[in-house]
Amino acid sequence: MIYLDNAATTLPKPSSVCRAVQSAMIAAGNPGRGSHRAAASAAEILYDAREEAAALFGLDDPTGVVFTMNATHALNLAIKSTLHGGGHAVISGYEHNSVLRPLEMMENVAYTAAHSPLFDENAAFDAMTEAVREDTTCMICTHVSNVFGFVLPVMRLDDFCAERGIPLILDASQSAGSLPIDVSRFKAVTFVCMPGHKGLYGPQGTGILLCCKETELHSLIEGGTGSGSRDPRQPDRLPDVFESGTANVHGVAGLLEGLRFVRRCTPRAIGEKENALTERLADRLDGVRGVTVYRGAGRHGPLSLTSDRVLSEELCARLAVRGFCLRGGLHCAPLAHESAGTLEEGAVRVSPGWFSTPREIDLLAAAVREETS
Amino acid sequence: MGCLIVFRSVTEAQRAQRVMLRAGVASVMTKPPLHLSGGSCAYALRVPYEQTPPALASLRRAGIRLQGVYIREDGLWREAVL
Repeated sequence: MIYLDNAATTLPKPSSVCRAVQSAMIAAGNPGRGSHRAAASAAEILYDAREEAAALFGLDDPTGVVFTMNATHALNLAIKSTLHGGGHAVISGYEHNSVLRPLEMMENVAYTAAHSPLFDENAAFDAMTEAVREDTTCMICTHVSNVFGFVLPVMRLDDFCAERGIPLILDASQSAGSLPIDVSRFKAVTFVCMPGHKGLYGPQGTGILLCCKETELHSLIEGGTGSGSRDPRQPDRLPDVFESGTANVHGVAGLLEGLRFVRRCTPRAIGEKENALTERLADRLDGVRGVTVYRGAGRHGPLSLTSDRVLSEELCARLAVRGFCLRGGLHCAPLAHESAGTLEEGAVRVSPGWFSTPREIDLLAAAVREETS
Repeated sequence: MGCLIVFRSVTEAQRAQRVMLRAGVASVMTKPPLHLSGGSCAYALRVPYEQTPPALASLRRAGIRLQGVYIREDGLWREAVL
């Protein structure tokens, strides 16, 4: 098997991650639910992971690190808390359904999707800022398109939003762990949402919401938090306001080791390695008849391609028979395909990870040539 | 006997414990007696009496909120006047 679907989830995980999950399942109890050794061990795991994430992303206060099920969960918390009282959101034309669908479902919330051409940072900035209205309550932007690796102009949008007092929600699903992110540099970003199981190399079922600014918080679900038990109301403090019920302790134990792995390797080195591999593939496929490779200035992470002879899902299926793990279709991001003009056929996404090799890329390039000829 | 610094949750107590440790004050985490916990799921840090002023100073600097500070006298926990 040649796994090149790391934008969906990284595989394999570092061995330290696997060991930590197993150890937690043997020794960790329920955090915050007692003072015995097993409960204390679980609480230590959670707090160590909060500190590790805070250190990786430049967050001062580790209690602003909220553990979630995935990035979708984190985005739902951020979006529904920010737009609790209704309002208007501006989103980029490259957002995932985990942004689009919560907005569609919310009453009293309107949104504008600001479409712009692929790999045109200035056009993306102009489209998003021109979509802002007097009643705009927040802006939501993906850092990197999960389909095309298009890096959105987040720092410029942060400046723009700060000048106007508009909170910015950042979806770092494809950048956390492979691009340096320092939240202390942001002026308007209130929340950063990310999966734990992609670029942070943790287990599936983990995610992180970074709460970067003091703001009014509204819970999505309510329940036991191991704090303030006599009060029937949900605590309003972080992280309890967003963390009801028993935590995914063994998942977070694995995530803690994933975070340590990323800090040791450094996000910059991980990103550079992935980009060198995708650029290698793009070079190998350059000039192959009928194959379009979507590359452009500032691309980061996943690389997508289409064939004018084989539909993307069909091409993925054929490559899967030959042992390649890739993702075709729309990648839960119809907006991105609409912006790029690939909504009808979708695209084949190739996303190497830290453990991918140049040889695997060369084998894929040869297979794509054969299957599309 | 020392001093008991009470927090509303395990996470707040953990944050406080690490802030205090970086200030050179070691502590032991424990569950406080029910009557000191406000009837909630509070956690407490036990600190040697003479270490209490630097411990509290480090928490103030970090902006960490406490639920209460208690000193053991004559076998009873009494709220400290700060």
